[in-house]
Amino acid sequence: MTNRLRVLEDERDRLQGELDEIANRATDRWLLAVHYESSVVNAMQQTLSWRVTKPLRLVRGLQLARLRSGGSGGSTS
Amino acid sequence: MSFLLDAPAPEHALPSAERALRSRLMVVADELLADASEVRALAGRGSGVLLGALVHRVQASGLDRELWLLLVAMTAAFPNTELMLRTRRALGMAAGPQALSAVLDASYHSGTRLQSLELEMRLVTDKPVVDVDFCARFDHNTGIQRVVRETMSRWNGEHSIELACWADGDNCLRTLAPIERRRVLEWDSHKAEMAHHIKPDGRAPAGFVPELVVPYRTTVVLPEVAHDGLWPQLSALARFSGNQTAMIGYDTIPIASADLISSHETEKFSKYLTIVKNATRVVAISDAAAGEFRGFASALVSQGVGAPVVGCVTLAVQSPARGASVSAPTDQPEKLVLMVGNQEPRKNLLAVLFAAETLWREGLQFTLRMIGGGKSDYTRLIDHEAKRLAKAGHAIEVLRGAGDDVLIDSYRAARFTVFPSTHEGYGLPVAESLAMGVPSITSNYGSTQQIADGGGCLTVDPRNDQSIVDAMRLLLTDDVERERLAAEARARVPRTWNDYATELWHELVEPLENAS
Repeated sequence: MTNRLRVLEDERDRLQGELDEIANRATDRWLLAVHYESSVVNAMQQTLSWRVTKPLRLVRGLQLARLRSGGSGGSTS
Repeated sequence: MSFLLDAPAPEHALPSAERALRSRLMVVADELLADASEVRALAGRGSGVLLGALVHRVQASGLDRELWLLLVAMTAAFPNTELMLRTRRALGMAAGPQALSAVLDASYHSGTRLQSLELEMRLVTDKPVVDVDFCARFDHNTGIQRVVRETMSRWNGEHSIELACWADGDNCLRTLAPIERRRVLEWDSHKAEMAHHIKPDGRAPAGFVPELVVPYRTTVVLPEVAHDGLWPQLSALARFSGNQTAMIGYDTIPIASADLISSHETEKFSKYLTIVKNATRVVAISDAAAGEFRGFASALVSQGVGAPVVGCVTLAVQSPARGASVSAPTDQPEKLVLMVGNQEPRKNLLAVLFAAETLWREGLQFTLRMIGGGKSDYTRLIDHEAKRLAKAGHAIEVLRGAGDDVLIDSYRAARFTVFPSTHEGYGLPVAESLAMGVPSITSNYGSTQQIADGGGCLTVDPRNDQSIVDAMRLLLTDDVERERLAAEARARVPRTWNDYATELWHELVEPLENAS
């Protein structure tokens, strides 16, 4: 009876270990994904081309804001 | 874009991000899971196991504040309303072991860029957390920044408070670097040293590793007007976090005077009002501003949400302080009429120019000096008018970027000031003028009328140009009346920043601290 109980407990621990592994792996993958995405965007924003084109995005943003408020969108709209 | 292809995605998350996640989860576990030994045991089995246990705890309790806290620890970011609702619904559908993946999935699809994943967090439960973001990060000190710095330097000595600003990327509140703390609490000495500093770019100083500041079941004070990147996080905090949110209400000018403001400002302010909507308490800077916020609170009845309690503590009135380098007073005109303040349509500068021109044409001799900056589309118009008047031989000066010394010398030399604004939250130039013993012509309603009630002012209908002409003529020609008003101004009981800071604490924070 004691042996049977020990076997069942070992089995339970093994299964619990598998569940722990699944939870840890899912969390690790989630963290990897969100951290990597953030790093990639950050790296992109450090590039020369991103910084050089910043004024263009600013102007476009203003054009879009003007469009939203009922004005003309300008030459690129 | 080749760098994106050059750097393959790593197999595992960075150890620093893993460590920080585990640390944050343990802070939350200590709060939500009562048994400390259980927390250590769970953490020993891995961050995913600990996170799973917290998810089950939050799922079982069904409390929004616990879900909010869990999402903060997980993402190192204050969630917005969309993420809160998405996660709550996902948890409602997920059974047993699927709850963890439901939360991870909801967070991953939120689209928020998480920039603070490598930071640890500090849970603040026993004192108010005060968001002093702009004052901590930038060297700028006009209206709102003066209120915040004068108040915080006093609160900090008398009460236990936690000052915080927003982490890079605006995800979450963080601790202040020493220089940021000085920028808020010791402005005068910081300003004296400013010449030796590099102009701040708003980012955390190099080498400073902050902790996230997470208020929980306490009071969050918002003494600034939060910029437009923060409203989703702050309105969700006010709605879900279990914290009570207390705000200073300055005015609702971008909405109530939208006809005189750029549409971009109006749009930004309308989003800011979503924070007010979910706040617990708002204390306005004048009776007039309190009326505006009460009006907004009344409008919320139709949405079935609880409106904030609105109170009022009137701002302090102190004459501007002279800088460290005292310049000798320059030659001042004999009869100087002074107009101080931002140059924008609601300040009614064109009406003042009309009144001045009318009086010059009548033969009165005086100099009109306008001090203040503004947006170029409006200042161009003022400059054009000023040039035209100067060309016609009239004495007009427009000063932009003038320092405190020029301002003080101008107040001292002024026969009177004129400030017929159509809409103010307070009217600082009127208050400053009176504090310097100089009579003021100002508007006959709202906050400026409230200031005028204490004496020293002639009030006018700012929409009636003739009324401004008549008031200016009176103070230019009638020495007895001018001296009577100056005596009234000098007799006013000064209201100090100590008065303001003390009353604001009693009105804004104390009721919430007592309630919690």
